[in-house]
Amino acid sequence: MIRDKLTALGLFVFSVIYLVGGWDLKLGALRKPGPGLLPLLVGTGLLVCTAIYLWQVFRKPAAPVSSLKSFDLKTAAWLLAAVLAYPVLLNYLDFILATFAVVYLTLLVLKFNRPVRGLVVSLLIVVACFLVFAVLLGVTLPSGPIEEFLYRLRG
Amino acid sequence: MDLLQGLASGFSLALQPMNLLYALVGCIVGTITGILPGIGPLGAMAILLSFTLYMDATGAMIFFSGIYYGAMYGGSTTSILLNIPGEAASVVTCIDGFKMAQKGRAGAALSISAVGSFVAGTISILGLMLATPFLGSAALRFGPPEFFAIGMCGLVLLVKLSEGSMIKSTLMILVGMALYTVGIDYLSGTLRFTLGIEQLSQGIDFLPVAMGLFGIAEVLETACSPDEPVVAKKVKFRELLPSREEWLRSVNPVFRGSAMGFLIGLIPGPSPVISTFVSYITEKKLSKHPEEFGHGAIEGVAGPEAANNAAVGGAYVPLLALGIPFTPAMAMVLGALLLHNITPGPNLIHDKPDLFWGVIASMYIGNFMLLVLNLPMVNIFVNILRMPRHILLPVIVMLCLVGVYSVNSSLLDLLIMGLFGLLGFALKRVGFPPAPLILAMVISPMLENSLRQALLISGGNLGELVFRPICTVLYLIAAAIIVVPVWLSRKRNRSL
Repeated sequence: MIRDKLTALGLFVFSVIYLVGGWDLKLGALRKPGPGLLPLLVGTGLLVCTAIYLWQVFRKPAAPVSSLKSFDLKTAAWLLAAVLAYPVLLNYLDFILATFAVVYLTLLVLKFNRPVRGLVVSLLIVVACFLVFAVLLGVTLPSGPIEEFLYRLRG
Repeated sequence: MDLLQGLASGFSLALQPMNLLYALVGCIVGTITGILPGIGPLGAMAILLSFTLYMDATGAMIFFSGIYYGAMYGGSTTSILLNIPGEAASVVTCIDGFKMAQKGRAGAALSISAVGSFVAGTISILGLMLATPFLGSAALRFGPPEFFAIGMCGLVLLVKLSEGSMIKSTLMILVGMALYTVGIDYLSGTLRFTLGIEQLSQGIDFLPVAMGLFGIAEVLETACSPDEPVVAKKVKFRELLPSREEWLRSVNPVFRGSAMGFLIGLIPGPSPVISTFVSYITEKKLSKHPEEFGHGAIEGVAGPEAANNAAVGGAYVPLLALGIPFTPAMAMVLGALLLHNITPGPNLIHDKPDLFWGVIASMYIGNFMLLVLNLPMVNIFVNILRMPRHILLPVIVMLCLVGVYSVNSSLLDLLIMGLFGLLGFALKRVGFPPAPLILAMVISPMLENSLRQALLISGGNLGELVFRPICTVLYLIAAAIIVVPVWLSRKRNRSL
């Protein structure tokens, strides 16, 4: 299957990069092993196992393509994009707005068909997160004017 | 501190209001995650790992124990009523449990499963209480070569017992070890694989990796799967009482399942899952009515349900006595302890007796809570399956995102979690189990330190690593586990 072949090739590339990356680390001697010993052992093991896996994958006949539909993958891709966008949004929009944006996007991706109710649900989830993490657990979250206002309300 | 004294002090700690609350919340969360397909105990622990930072270490352990036990209880409910195993350890219960439900004996199956789980949980806690101090004091005489041998054998057994192919599990272990090597080497102060990124000098944290692989990846997986409506039959309270014959037929399977489950819990790998299969096969072989198996035999519910609960107690032994987690869930427990700067090992019982005995006592309490809570509330818990996933999934995503950020206030951790979410999702699609990766990441520091210390102490003598009595025995066991099945299968093929 193409997916297995790609995985095998990806692992092979990772093994080579890992081994090359660890080349400069001091190996030391057996009586005084250095920081490069474990990376060398792990890298070699990875390369050998990947070679075996490559051989297995390229030897066996192609299996039928998975039944995973493209629209399913689209949902996963959008969800993942929301997760990966969160650190960026958090940096620019601070906690409340960034969290609201990500929750609302997640609801849309999961086909929550009522936009107004979606806004309310997003708001409730954001408020719950703020109460649990910032108020109850005392976590310092990225703060802007909205968060400062909420902190002031709390006193 | 002797056993009774230790247990008494443990109960005084576990009965404190906050610890009771942690146990209760843990049991409820565990039951819910056991019921919900996809998010198993491992996912729940990963998602809630960051919360344990705000508890004391004992509270964190009590919370996680509640989740682990609760998941085992919860998993049986949907297996019996809906033929949906909430988590892998409940798959076997579906076979006869659901058949019993179809025959109108769902209440009896649920009761036997709950009582069996309670008995097994209690037996395994007794085993844990007796075995851990014994193993812990024996381990005080272990040196770096022995710890290296235990770690290596653990990984070998893990490869052998993990789901899927051996080569895939091995690759996952090696990738986990490679990830551990990122960051500063504390023995020499050398930076390894940091790619010039300053924040990586502290290494890749276990928390975002675990939350990504088990939290975000599960969310992506669930979002991709079809959303099917759930219709559950209501169980009336009076239907919960099993008949006299059902009780009698369940006694021996429960005790056998408990013993087997505890012993299987001691070995590396997904022990609760394996124990249910072993128990089911054993009960079928020993039964006077093997033809009933698969058609609603009560023994097919009692044995496996007892076994998976007992395996939970067994899995705690290597972690608390040696500091080595043999199952992915125990890696999460270790992660929670490390967040509190506590490294479990042979000295744990002496250095932190309150922690050890408090957890033991809370397990008794948690088991009792689950028995009292789960049966009367079975219909409420089943209704959780009706919760729309477009509400559930965003909540889980936010718990992961804000949870991981709250630990180090690091945007890089968020990015790492997202990337490992993608990796976990992709790995599942190509049949690579993510659990060995996490376990290897957790065991690797101990492996590297003990290897380098052993070589340093012995002046580079490799024989010292292999030919010390305990090491030799362990390596022979590991070799036998790999070689014997291959030899047997070749012999069988030749005779055919």
